[in-house]
Amino acid sequence: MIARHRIAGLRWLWLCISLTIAACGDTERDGVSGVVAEASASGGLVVASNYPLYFFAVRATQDIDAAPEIVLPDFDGDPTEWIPSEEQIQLLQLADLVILNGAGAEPWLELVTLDRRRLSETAAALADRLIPLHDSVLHQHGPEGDHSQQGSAFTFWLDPQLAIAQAQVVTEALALLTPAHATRYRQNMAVLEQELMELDRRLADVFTNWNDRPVLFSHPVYQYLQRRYGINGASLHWEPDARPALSGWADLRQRLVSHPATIMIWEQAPLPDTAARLASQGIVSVPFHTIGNRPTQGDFMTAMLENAQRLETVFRTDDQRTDNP
Amino acid sequence: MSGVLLLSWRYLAHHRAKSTILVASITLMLFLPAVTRLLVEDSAAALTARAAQTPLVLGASGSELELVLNTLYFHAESPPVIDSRALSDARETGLANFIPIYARFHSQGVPIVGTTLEYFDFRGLSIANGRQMGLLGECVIGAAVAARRNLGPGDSLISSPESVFDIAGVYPLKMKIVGVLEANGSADDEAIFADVRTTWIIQGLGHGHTDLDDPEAAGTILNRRDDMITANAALTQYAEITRENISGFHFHGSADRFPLTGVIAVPPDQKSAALLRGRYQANEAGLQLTVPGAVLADLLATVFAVQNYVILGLAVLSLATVAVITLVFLLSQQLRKGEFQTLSRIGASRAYIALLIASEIGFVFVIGFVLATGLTLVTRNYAMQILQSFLTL
Repeated sequence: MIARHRIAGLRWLWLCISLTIAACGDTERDGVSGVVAEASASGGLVVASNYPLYFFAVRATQDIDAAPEIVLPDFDGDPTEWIPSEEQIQLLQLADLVILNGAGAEPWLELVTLDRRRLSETAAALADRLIPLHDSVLHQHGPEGDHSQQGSAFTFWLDPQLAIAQAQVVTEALALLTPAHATRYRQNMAVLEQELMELDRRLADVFTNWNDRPVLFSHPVYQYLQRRYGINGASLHWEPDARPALSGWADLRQRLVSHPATIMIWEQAPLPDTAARLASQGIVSVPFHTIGNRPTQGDFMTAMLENAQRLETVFRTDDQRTDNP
Repeated sequence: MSGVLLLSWRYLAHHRAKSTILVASITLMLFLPAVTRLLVEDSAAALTARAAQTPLVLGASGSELELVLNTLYFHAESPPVIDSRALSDARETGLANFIPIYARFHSQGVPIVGTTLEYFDFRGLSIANGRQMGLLGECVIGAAVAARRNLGPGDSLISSPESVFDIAGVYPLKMKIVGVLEANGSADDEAIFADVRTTWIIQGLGHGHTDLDDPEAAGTILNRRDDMITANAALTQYAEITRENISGFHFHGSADRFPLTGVIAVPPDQKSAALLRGRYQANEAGLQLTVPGAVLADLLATVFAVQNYVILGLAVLSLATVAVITLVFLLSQQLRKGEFQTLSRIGASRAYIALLIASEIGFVFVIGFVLATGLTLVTRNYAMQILQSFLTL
């Protein structure tokens, strides 16, 4: 036991020294070494692979002295497109626990060498509730080559019931890491569970009032939200920060024939001219942030409640428009 | 007394050829049995220590010795492989920590060992210079490799093709060295370590190329369907993994079918080890679980038996050598009768002459003993390298 503590101490010392030296002239590295220094003083280091997992871990460890330091790497964009820097890989390798979403949300995991024993994948506990993907493009080399396998949708947290399941996996992983705090983690988890249940009720009310009318999704990332609330939705492949190509508009026209949606849900607010052109076709754009990365303000719960609020407002307006054409 | 020693020394120095032959005979007579025993004992101790640190090894059915030597020393040529499925199945048992080993490729004769970070913890290997491998295409090298080839962090290594005649084989992969391991006096000093997936890329199971959706790749498209793009052989694959192209690397086929040459199993206790061994007894999936200590004990039992025969032979040879040396000295006395008579006439007693002859014989034996001891100590220092050169063969 003493030897293990000594090794752990040496690991921290080595990381602090190397990151401090590496930090000269690099502001991002300053942040990493600072986090590690803080973590060394607490009950370990936990790295989360996306914002919802980070939020669940932070909530589980809230108000507990000497709880593990929870770190969300600077993804610089979409966490699913992240390729860790050299320093971030060192952080991941030295973490006592790396909480993963799973189901293909961490393609970088295929490129990085990590200690398997320190990984905790939340999708493993949701295996029977995953939604398989069918629309990804594959490739092969020559007529005889094998092709890659398709994955599953991974934005579980958009279904608050699955978010609760994910948070429970995170809580148990933390309890395994620092058993002394297990009871407190579970108490915090119970509070978070109540909040997520309340969010679930709120979203259920919003979509119940929508009465199964068709909705468009700008991107196929809302599968779990759609399944949870029985949304009559269809997905396009439109990026909010790019103007849709002519083929995209043609695809939309074709889609509207069988799926006459008046609402289009986006990951972020679309470009103004895209929103205007959609509006001219009677489609209102409404952002519903997937919150894969840290929101610019607030946290997971406030961002989800804002999503619900926006939908409520848009649905109400649409109802009034329908009632008074 | 000093006069006797001076005379005998001068005699030996004068008859250099005869003295050298006598000293060499005695040196070899003492050195060979001693070094044989020491070399075998040291090698056995080193082999046993590494085997004792490796509780169990899972691999393909067949030669237990080949499996153990390749997993521990990484030197088998074209070792039999198992599917990675065997590793995931083993992990599902939860009876041990399982560490994959894929030791099939090499770079200029130095084995490239594909494994995971758990291997370094398991062997107690730490980084002396640089950092641990982090991305595909990165590697860390043993201390002896770094010293011999003057390599360090920032340098590169290129994997060697398995056969010069394999013109349709996989592209060599340029790997970036990111760290040098602390020397630990084992086979790990003589190896290159990479992520097991990097070795699968060397084999061609994974590769990187431009995105087939990219207009630049249009000339390489053989067929495009709704959900499938087929590229032709003109598609250039990356020969080096860099941060810029790493996102273009991917694997084809089921990861469960990817090969491993062995899996080190580290059970937490004896009970788990026994349960695990029970699971792989009479395995019908072409797998075997061996105890390296037992396999090497069998090997060493054979080696010790051979050693005893060798030492017996050397002992007989030593007796013959002693007989010849005795004969040489007796004949020498016959030839030196005139010399002894002269010594007698100038006042030397019979005892003095006997002491002179004895001191000559003593000098020869002492010098032979000193040389044999020195040679034995030098050889002992290089025992591990000598052993590893045998294992390489």
